[in-house]
Amino acid sequence: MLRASGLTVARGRRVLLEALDLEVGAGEVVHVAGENGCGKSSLLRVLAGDVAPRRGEIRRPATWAYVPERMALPDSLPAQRWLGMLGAADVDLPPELDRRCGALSKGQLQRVALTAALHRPGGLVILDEPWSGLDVTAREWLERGITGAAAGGAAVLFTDHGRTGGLAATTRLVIGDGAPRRERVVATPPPTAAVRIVLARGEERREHQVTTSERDAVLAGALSDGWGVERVEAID
Amino acid sequence: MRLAHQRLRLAAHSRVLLVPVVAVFFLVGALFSGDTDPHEAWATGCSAVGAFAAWIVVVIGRAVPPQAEAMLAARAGGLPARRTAQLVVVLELAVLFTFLLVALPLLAGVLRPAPTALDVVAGGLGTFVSAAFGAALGLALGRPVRSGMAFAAVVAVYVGLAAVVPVSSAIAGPVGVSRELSVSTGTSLSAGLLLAMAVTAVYVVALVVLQRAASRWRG
Repeated sequence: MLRASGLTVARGRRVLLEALDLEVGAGEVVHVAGENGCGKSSLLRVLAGDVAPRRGEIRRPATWAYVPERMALPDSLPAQRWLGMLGAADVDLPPELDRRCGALSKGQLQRVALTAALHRPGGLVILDEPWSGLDVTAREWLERGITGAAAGGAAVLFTDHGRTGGLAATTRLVIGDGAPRRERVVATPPPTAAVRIVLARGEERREHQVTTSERDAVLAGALSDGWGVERVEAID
Repeated sequence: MRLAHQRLRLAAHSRVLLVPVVAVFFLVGALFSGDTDPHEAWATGCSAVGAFAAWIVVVIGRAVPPQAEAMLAARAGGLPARRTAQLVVVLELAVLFTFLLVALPLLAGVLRPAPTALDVVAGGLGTFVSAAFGAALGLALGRPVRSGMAFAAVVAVYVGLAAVVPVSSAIAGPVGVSRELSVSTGTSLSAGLLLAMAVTAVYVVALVVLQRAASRWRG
């Protein structure tokens, strides 16, 4: 899906990565990790075709999407028009995002950009700090989007300084301390947030403890089975 | 080509293009108000048109956030699409200015004496390469250079080219083209003019190559 060989990434005189070989297969989710300034964003820019590598070759699929860090768009541009420019005109934005970009918060603008990238993502999705500025709900939405893109056959690469992003990864690519190394994420760690759902049907009561990412599915299933929701509460 | 037009649409949203566009129409109006000698007007136009083209390219470059451009470029095919878009900007601005300064006055019938076919070819080619030079200069001086620095550099380049004219028009780029056009009455496509235009075209290619090398170096 994505193959880079002998890649040298540099900014001016400073060589960040040298002779990097990388291969990312269809459906693989790669978390590019490393310390600040080690060249994660520069690597993603090169892989996304935003800048040329100093040396090396990159083979990408026919279509790919890239969301750089610190998203910015002209204030007067309607978000829906931006999606149209990226071939996602048929996406119906929720009302809170369907405004001019200047009226959107940082997180909302990030969500608009991610919506464009994750809509028919093609063969490759490259996301630089995608969780930055997102609230809890949007983080879960993004994780579902990444998982969905990978399930659809796209290779996904992302950077993330927080912990949330690591949850979606199947592979970690650690750069910056000697030769780049790949680490297989054997099992995704459980989400830290959990909720208790108490359901009621007549005199009957039922209690579930689920993760936040499972919450919506459990609630939807219970409601369709005729249960009422008595309460949903966070578990410390 | 699509990426170039998407950049233009994004820049238009920030309304920063209003000032240079109004200034271009002011230039056209000033050059062709009433009956105008075509040689004089085109000679003056060749000196001015490059600076205006550079201004527009710098303004577009500053108005389009690099993040937005990166997303559009990735969707359009990455670096090759970006490079094509840059060439499209240079060529389209050159065509636009050639239309405004040569075709439009011809159609409006304001040129006196009426230019011969060779005059029109000389004026058209001269305006085209001069505008392309300015657009390529704007590309080379675009991001990450600040707008003020970029404009100062454009002025410096034109002052430098004007200083070279007494030595040789041939190496003075668009200013040399302007000089050759102003002295070529009766012999529209003189050898000096052809040489100045060819050298200016070489400068355009050199500026595009320089911009790409600088971008690759910056990373």
